[in-house]
Amino acid sequence: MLQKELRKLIWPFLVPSLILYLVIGLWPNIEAFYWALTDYDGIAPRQTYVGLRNFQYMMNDDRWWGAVSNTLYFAVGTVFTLLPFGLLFAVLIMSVRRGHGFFKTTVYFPSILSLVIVAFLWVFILDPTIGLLNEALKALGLVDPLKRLLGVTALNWLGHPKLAKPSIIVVQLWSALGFYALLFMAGLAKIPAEMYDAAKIDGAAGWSLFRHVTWPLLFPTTQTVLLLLIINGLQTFTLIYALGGGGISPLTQVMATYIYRTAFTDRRFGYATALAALLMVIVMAFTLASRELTKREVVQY
Amino acid sequence: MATDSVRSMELAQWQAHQAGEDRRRRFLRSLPAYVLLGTFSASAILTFIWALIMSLRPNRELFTYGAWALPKVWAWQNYVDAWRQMRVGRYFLNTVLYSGVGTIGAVIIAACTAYVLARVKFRGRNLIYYLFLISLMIPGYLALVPRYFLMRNIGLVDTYVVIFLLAWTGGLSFNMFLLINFFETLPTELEEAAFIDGGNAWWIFWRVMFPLARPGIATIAIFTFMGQWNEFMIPLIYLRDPAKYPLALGLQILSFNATYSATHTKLFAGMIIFMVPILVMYLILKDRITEGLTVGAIKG
Amino acid sequence: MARKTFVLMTFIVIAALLASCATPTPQIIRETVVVEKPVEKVVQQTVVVEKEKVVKETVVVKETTVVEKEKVVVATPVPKKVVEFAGFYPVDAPYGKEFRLVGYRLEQENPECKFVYSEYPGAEAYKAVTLRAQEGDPVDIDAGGGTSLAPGGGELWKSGLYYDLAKDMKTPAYGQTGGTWLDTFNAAAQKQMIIGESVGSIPYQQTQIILWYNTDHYTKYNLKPPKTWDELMANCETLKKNGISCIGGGGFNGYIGYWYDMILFRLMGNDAQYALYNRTDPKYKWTDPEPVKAAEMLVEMIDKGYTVDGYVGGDFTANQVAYFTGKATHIFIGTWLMGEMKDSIPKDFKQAVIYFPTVKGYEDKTPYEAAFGFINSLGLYKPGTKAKQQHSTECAVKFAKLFTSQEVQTQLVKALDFVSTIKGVPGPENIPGVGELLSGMKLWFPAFQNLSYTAPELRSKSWDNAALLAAKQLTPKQFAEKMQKDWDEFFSRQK
Repeated sequence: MLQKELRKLIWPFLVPSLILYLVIGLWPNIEAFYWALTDYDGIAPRQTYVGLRNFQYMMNDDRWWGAVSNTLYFAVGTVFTLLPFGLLFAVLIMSVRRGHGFFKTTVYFPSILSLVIVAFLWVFILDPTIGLLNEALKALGLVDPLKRLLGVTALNWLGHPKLAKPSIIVVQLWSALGFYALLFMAGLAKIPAEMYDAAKIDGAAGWSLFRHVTWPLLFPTTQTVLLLLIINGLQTFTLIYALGGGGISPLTQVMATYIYRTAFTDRRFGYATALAALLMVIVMAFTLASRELTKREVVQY
Repeated sequence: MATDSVRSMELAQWQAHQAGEDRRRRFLRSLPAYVLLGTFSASAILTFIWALIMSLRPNRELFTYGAWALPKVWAWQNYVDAWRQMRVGRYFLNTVLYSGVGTIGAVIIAACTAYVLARVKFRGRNLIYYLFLISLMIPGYLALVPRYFLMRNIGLVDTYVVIFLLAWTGGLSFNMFLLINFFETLPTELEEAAFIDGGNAWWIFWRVMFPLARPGIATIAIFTFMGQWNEFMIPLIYLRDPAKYPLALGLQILSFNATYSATHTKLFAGMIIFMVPILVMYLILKDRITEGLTVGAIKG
Repeated sequence: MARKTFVLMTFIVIAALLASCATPTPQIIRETVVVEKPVEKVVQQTVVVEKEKVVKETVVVKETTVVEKEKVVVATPVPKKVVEFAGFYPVDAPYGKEFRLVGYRLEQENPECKFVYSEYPGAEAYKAVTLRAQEGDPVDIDAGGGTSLAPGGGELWKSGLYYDLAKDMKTPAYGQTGGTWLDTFNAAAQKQMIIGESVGSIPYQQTQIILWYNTDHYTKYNLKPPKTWDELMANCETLKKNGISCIGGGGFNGYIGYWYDMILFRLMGNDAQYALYNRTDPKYKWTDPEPVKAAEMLVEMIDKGYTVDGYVGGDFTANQVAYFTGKATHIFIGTWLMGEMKDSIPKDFKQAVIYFPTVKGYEDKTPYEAAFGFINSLGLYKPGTKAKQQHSTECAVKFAKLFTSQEVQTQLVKALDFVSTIKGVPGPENIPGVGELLSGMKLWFPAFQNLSYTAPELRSKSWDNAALLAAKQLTPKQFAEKMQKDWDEFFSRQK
């Protein structure tokens, strides 16, 4: 009876959103596989079918492969910075007695800012000529030692081949650390206190407590964070676009920005979709791989 | 006796000493934690303060004294100029509109769909469920071009509607699965009771189930709102008329202004205007927001 | 929780209200209120202050006309035909302001036309203008420099989105009764307007890229203005020893891109360089000795530490700041610099201008008095099939005529210090030396790499390569090979 009544909701509640979803959400994804086989400049009446030619272009397009390798660099770079630092900050915030709330709030603060804002602030901080960082380093007399240490002739943070990518990873770290620390804190809060008490009775403390209790019990969270980092890392767009200020150097070009440029600047819409298809394959491969790699160790409690 | 009392006094002294030692040691041990956390917090706060100071400097001073100086003259005019001439006011209004309508629509659509899929039994339910699931696995870039041409062909490029539609459908699958999980935790008895009391389906949903799902709905609302407020790529692709730009995209334009007419300090004023509402909202709803964002991320 | 939500909602509502009250609509709205007794009650609601000038003039005009006819001024809202002007400069930058003033004058003189200035500042934002044309809702006048009509990038012209001005060019210019509009343009401009039988663009401004230097530095270190590359490099060495960067621009940005173009020009001469960039003659290859040598010279200059350490994407500001704050002595940049930066240049700053130095052994390729530059043009789009407003090409042509009239151009040059393409318009007065320098110029040629004269795709590709060259990811030889490969690939797809 209740079900019969509730079924009245199918038409007003489900059907409109289903139609919206199918038309706007799903259909373009399916259509994309045809688009990838065409050539279109956005002006001609129709796109022309070119078979696999776009994929041939892709093979010879070293800019694209440069973008792919930059993207992987960023994705791996963020995993190796954000994961440990996120965890470390989570543990530290949980452990300090005073200022717990204050630190939680301020550490998270950069994460609520739009990436466009983050990028503009950092462009000004890292600018080699008028930037805050270089001016500060100069005042402290650290410019020359740092140049020698890094083996560069100029502290051109976003432009030098050696410095550009690490600098962007630092910006990424600054902007996302709070978010991932918070994820870890949510995970830590879920670990029951008895587990710690039991371990302490067994004589565990400090590092061994972390190694044998916290780490294994936190593993599901770590898994999620890893997955998020990889998926977000491979699709990063806004930060790179805004940091580039309208001209993205090949040193920092990533897949997403290159796809955007190919479509909307070079007007090669078919080719851009072919590139996007490869992006999808890469994202899926990494998602599956990270799931497979971390599957076994989940501990139940 | 005497010796006993002496001993107990010594013991107490010793214990007090130990306690002090403990406190000191604990403090020393947590010192690195404070240093590390303090450094990062300081970087966040100082950056904001620096941006605030920059926004109050006249442009000529930036060109004369560089980025690392206090204002000699306080240029409150920067805010007036940013708001009026540089259209930050307009961008702000647009952003409020996009985030507001986008969030409300997205929440209602997700809640309705989720409720039907969670609680109504009908043929093809699983099929629909899996259809919605597909888009969770595909990166958004695949449909970038086809979706743009779809919108172009039905004449929606450069309209408010396209932003709303994409806001509603963009996170639909994700929001829906979150709410399906939520609805499934609610007991069926509630609906039955409401039904016996003579409530129709409409009433049952809006008056009973929707309010009960409030925590879940608040989560997706916050999640969607933050996303919409900062949305950059969709307006970049779909909007042409600068009068329709939201702040994130408008600021990008302002940064070009800054390059061509050298108005950097006004750009900073614009950034502060962009930051402050979200900052105030964050300080008021801190726990809700952090919880909403983490739940949202983990479930995804 | 409920209270907090309430506080938040209140906050949002207040913010929205504030926004809606305090926000002027971006396009400057002017309402002519219904007038019964015309003269006193012509009320113009203005947002922008500098418009008052124009308004006052109008009132005077209306006074005379109305009094003569003794009639009520028509005030019924007639649907006006829109001229939408896509400005490359921000609405409140000096250029934007002056261009808008011309628009208001158009409205005063032609009540049926409504002028709308849409700003698309910077190359990246400007993309929206071309996208709008493709989407069937183009602006009427595109002031982005007539980019799309250039030889290599003429695809948009071929696609038929642009309006052909050939007929209009045969009619008299603004305010004249005889002669043709075409004849009012100078020779360099005319050469660029005509595509076959058609007229594709309306040039209004030419800018030369010239070498600016800080005269205080020159006096202080006892330097002589260089005429040859070696002299310039010697000056750079002296400056470097004194801890000053010789050249504003570094790593890679647009300004360094100009250096590459200009060195190559000195090595190859104009015709050969043109043929190389646009592949009008396949004899010229990027792997020829000259393009490689130009790359080597550029890299050497960067290697010796003569440049500022400044590269942040397409942000030119750092270089301008370095130059104006005395951190760098030279900057190779267009004559637009002063107009653009008017409000930001320190008051006591002293500078002078010279031509780019010649290279020893190649003096016969180019005259010393040569500079490249841009011709900024208006391009007129045909009304689109999906236009949202009633556009009018007729009004657009009227605007273009007004805009390129001697009177208006003289006024613009006075305000903006640019060099006009219209015959008889005086040169800029406010930049010391520029007028004299340019009056003696023997060769003017269009800019290649940084804007215009190659297809947009090739332009961004050559930027990529140059960035990698400056970052030492490519040797000069590899750079040349990469350029050749990109050019081959692009032109192989064009058939």
